[in-house]
Amino acid sequence: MAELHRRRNCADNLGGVVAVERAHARGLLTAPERLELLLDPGSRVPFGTLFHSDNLSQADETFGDGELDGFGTIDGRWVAYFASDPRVKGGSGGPADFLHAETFRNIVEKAALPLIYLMQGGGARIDEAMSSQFIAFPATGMGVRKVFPRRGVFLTAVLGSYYAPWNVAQADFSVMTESSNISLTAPPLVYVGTGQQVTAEELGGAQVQARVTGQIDAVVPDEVAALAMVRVAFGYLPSRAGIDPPIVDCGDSPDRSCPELYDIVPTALNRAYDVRRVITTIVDRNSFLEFSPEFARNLVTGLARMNGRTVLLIANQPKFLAGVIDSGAVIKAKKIFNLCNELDLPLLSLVDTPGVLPTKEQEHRGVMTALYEHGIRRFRPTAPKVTVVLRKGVGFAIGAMSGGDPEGITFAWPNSQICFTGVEACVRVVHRREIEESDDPSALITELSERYTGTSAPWSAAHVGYLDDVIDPAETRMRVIRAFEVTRRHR
Amino acid sequence: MSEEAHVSSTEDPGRQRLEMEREAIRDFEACRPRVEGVLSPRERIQALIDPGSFLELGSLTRSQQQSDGGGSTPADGLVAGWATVHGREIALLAEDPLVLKMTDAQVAGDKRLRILNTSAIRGVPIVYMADGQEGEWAGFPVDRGDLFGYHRYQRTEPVSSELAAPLITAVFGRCVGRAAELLMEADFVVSTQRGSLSIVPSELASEPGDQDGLFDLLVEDDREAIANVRKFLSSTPSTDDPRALGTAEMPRRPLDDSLLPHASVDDVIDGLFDEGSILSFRNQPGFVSGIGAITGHRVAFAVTGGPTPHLLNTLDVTAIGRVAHLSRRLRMPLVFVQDADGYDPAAARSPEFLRRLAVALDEVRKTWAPKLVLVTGHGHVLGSFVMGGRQLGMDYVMALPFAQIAPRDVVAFHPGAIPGDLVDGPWVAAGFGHLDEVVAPSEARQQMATFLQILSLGLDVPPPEVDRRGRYVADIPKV
Repeated sequence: MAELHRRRNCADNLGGVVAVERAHARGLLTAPERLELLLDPGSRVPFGTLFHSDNLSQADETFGDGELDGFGTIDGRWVAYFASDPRVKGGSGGPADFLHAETFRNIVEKAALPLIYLMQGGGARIDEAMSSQFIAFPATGMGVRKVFPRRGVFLTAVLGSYYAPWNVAQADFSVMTESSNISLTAPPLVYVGTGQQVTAEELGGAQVQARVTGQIDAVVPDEVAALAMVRVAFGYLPSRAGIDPPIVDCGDSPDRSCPELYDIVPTALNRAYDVRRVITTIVDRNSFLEFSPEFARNLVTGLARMNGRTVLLIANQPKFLAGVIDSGAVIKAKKIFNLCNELDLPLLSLVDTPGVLPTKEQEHRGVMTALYEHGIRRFRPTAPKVTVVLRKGVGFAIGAMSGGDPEGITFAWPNSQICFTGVEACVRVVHRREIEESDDPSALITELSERYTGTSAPWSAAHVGYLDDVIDPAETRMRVIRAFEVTRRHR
Repeated sequence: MSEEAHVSSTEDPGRQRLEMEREAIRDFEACRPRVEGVLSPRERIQALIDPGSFLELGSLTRSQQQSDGGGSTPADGLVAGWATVHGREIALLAEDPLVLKMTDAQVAGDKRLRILNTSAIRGVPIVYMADGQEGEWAGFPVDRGDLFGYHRYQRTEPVSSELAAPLITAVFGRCVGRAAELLMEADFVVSTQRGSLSIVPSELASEPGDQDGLFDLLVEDDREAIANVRKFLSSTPSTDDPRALGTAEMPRRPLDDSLLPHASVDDVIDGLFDEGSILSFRNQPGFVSGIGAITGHRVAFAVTGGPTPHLLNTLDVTAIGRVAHLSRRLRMPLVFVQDADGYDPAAARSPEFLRRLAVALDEVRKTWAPKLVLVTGHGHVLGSFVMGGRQLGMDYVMALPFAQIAPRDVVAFHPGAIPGDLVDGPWVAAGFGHLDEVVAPSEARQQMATFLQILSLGLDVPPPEVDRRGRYVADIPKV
């Protein structure tokens, strides 16, 4: 018993007061402090507390071998956690972690538990990984398998420098602090390998991830905000695939009319507006959680609640690039469709797009393949899907937004335009010769445009059933909620 | 005369006929020879079920091969139907040894198939009360040279498949042939001293009694057998909700930190399990297996221990295979508590031991229910592979501070050595992740309860499909 108490004491006080002060001096929290903020008070159940590195002579200093694993509750729901512990070898992972991590993963899989990563560390421990045995690492070290249907949700918080961030790549929701960075490799290795001199911030700082890569869903000022964000995001998600997320009463009537939408969305097709205002008007009050707001700003994505139930959101943003679909938007939409597919979450799509961005750069970036793959992906989800065409739904872009999905429900506002390509572009291509020969090309274009505008109105699609209904904008909230109710899966 | 008056009249020929049929059954029961400690099929049913809950299937059935009007063959030798035990619905089959001295009559076969099929669909446990006596194939007299009705037995019976309902058997007499085959596939078998199962005719069958571990539980008489079936039904999870908990009770004598190494099996069970929750199948010095509850979580278990290191023998590994089987079929968590030095060398040389060990290993590996291990003393080879090897998918392994974990029995392989010289208690094993936790004795029950709770969260999710190469085939979401 005395030896048990001695070892537990060592494990509880790794690095001593010095390690705590060092972390605080850098503006960071220790791993146990982070877990205090993440989990419900008193709910933490550590796993493998006496596990240590391969080196027996360092056993007392390496308990956990750079990670704290275990279980606890968030708002009463069980989760598993995996927290880097920089008090041990900078939070890096060594070969000894494999067996321990495998056992932990088995429990997570078996119980189909949500898994939350709190990451700050050096990735693989280079000196201990300099062995041909490293070949085993990619099989065991790249996170939990998404095994269906035993698939819990994954959330990752990056709270410092973090390399080889597989658990960001696989996360259903990820957040990082402004001062943290993630990248596959570290600046010194970049320099040795390529001669390129970069800072960690340039390589994968928060701003890079927020604006350039879109690999992170949210950037927040500090760790307290990051851990609070994880708790908030988890509140929108089910514990695992196949069950419902918690229902949260937002005190917002499902029958609330939204006449303010008349003023938010301009009738003129080329006038910009902020689709976030449409979203926040339609969904339950204060329930919208936006993903990657600085990346691919022509598409707005996120989570919200309608009548207390979680919905995924994707919406064209006319305020940026007129809301076109480009390769960045496809990357951003991919996340939402994957969540819809894998977690069986309902999807609300708000369409106002002039089409796919028709530039040489987009073609060279492979937008065709990206759109094709996205088109396949959008038909996968069997979760309830509701689409509302607010104003414009043009070309393949409307399909990319889940419009007209035969398994979903598609509404349109009365003044919307749905067509193969933009009206003016259509006129200029189809009637090119007539326009060239016309004495008054401008008048002819206007005349022809009016004709095509008439056929692009929603009525003909509604008459043949390709649109499920044309709805008054003020009715949007109640109609969407009702559509989700009738298509919701009964579990 | 109105129709209503007509059908209520005692002169009604239909009612008269019904009364006559029922009278014949009563007469048959009244003439039944009585043997002390032996109940009739209907008495067994009444002793098992909640009063008034029996709904009989085919109460007027009779043999179609007899010409005596059915008076000698009530129910065609198989009383069948549905009832409740502790409020939980069950299906019932009870054989009558006095009817044609057989269990495979044609009409009875139809009833059995209906009960098996409806139970499979609804997930209702089946209680089979077997008493086939001599087991003659009277339904298919060989001297008549016909196969009348034989096709009825060539239909697939939904037994033993993963989706089949739990089959619980009480054996009250000799059971021979197909009935014995069926009962050998049961998930739980309790037998009286008069019971035996055999595929071959009676003159070749073994003597009644415990057939070398074939029965999970051997008891004195009918009432004790039925009482154990009642206890089994109240101790296993509901098929509808595998996570359903019983009432959490305190242990009889909670473990405290004064517990010494090599504590008795009784001390360990009394300290870990809820008081009154144990239904033990095999109960020998140094080894107990059965089902029980830990803070209300119903589990299948095997416990080894005692003042002298235990070595697992043939009947021990058979019993381990049986509780693992229950764990798999009923999705009950499996708990091993071990203080064992491995296998008994005398038994381990026997092919029979190896065959039963292979069955046990297979059952332990296959069960997808939570699997937890507590090492209380010797955990050599983690108490032999069958009781805790990671390769069998143990989810959570913990040990007491004085446990000795080593790859093999230190004393046996290093004569003269003191175990402490060669192994480092549980510390190295815990340091390398072979153990997940070292706990004080007073913490063991709560720690086990916590991980039972966590691991049971996934009990109602189907296990992932695995292909022949051992890879998950369900990794790719279904489109």
